[in-house]
Amino acid sequence: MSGFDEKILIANLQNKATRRSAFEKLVQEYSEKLYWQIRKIVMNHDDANDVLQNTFIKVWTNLENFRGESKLQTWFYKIAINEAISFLNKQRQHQNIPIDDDSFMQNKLESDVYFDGDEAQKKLQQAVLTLPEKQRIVFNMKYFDEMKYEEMSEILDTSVGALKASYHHAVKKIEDFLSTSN
Amino acid sequence: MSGLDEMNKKNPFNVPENYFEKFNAEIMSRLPDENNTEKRNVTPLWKKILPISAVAAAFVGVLVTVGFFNNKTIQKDKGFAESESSANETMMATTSSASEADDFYLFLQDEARNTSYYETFAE
Amino acid sequence: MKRIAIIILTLTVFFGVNAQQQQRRGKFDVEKFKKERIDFLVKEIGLTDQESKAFIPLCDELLTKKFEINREARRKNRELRQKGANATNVDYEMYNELQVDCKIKEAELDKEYYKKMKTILSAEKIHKYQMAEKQFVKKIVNQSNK
Repeated sequence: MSGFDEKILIANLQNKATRRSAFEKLVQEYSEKLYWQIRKIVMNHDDANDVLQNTFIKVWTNLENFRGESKLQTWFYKIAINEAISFLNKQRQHQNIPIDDDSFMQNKLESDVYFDGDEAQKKLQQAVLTLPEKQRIVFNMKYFDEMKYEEMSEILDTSVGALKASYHHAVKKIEDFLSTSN
Repeated sequence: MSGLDEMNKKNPFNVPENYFEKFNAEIMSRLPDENNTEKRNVTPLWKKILPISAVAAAFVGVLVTVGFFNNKTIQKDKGFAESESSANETMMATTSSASEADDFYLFLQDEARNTSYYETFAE
Repeated sequence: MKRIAIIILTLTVFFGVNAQQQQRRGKFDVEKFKKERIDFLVKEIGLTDQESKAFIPLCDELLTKKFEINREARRKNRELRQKGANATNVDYEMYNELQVDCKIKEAELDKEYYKKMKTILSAEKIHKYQMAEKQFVKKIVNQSNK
């Protein structure tokens, strides 16, 4: 979306009269992108659907607080990622799962019915799940989404340097995992 | 060794058929109403009185906090060795009107004392 | 708005100075304690925003529940003392049992909340929490004794 279009959209969102139709445009434009960010964090489609809904509702109720200091997409991604992480934390709490227990996420991947990758892709996903949560997010954004570090830095509130370091560690860990499991 | 560069970056996850179309319709119907924006410019009368009553309340609050209205004298504690007996005396004095704040502070004293005992013996 | 703040501030300083001369005439400020405790814990443990959101309510709950248990014991102790010479053997027995049970209840609470905390924090941070919680209470009590 061009800078100009975005300014118009923001104006429409903050005007009560045009808010709903503008929001509908928003949903059409961003729901898929946000979904995949969320899905890669929570693994499971049904959970991703829940979190996506929560994300949009949060956006809707906070429209007046958006001052346009960042791009819309950056703001959405921030909310979506926070909602996804909160969701996982709540799930872990309810099931009394310690934070360093890997099998929780691996099980989600295993039981995901909406997965149709081949053996190699599955191994890759398993490798990614061995990463600590934030590193996993960084890796997914860089490797699969090919996002620029500057954009990631805004979304995750982390310096570009720290992100680069995190990504390189992630790559090394994953490559080690893949080579030892062959 | 399978380098990450050679790997298949394609998305291995999928969604139910027509998921996104259905989603877009569903989320629009779930949005809560926007009634709160209509009351923007009307400052209720109580809000206008608030600043003045806030000053009055804060003033009274300050007086209460410094014990202006409080005629009890509470003993100052004299260190851990003697605090058991003075705590008991304090308890006696405030038996009938033991407030939560007093009880809470006594609770903290107990905890602090236990920590100190533990640290003494653990050395 | 600023004028009001200045007025309140002046009054507070005036009466605050007065209060210091009266030593501990005033009540213990529980709310202030709670807030300072949270700030202290977040800093000492190094909690992230995500962790704080999940963890702070938990450790608040734990503190409150422990306080309630302690308060119960304290009430019974007062009752016992009030009875003085009239205290019967049964009274003493009930009180003794309560004291012992209190320790067990507290320990059970500790375990229960420890399990919950494990789902949010790493073992290292939980250890830091336990240290920090104790140090903070000691700090506050020592301050008030001066």
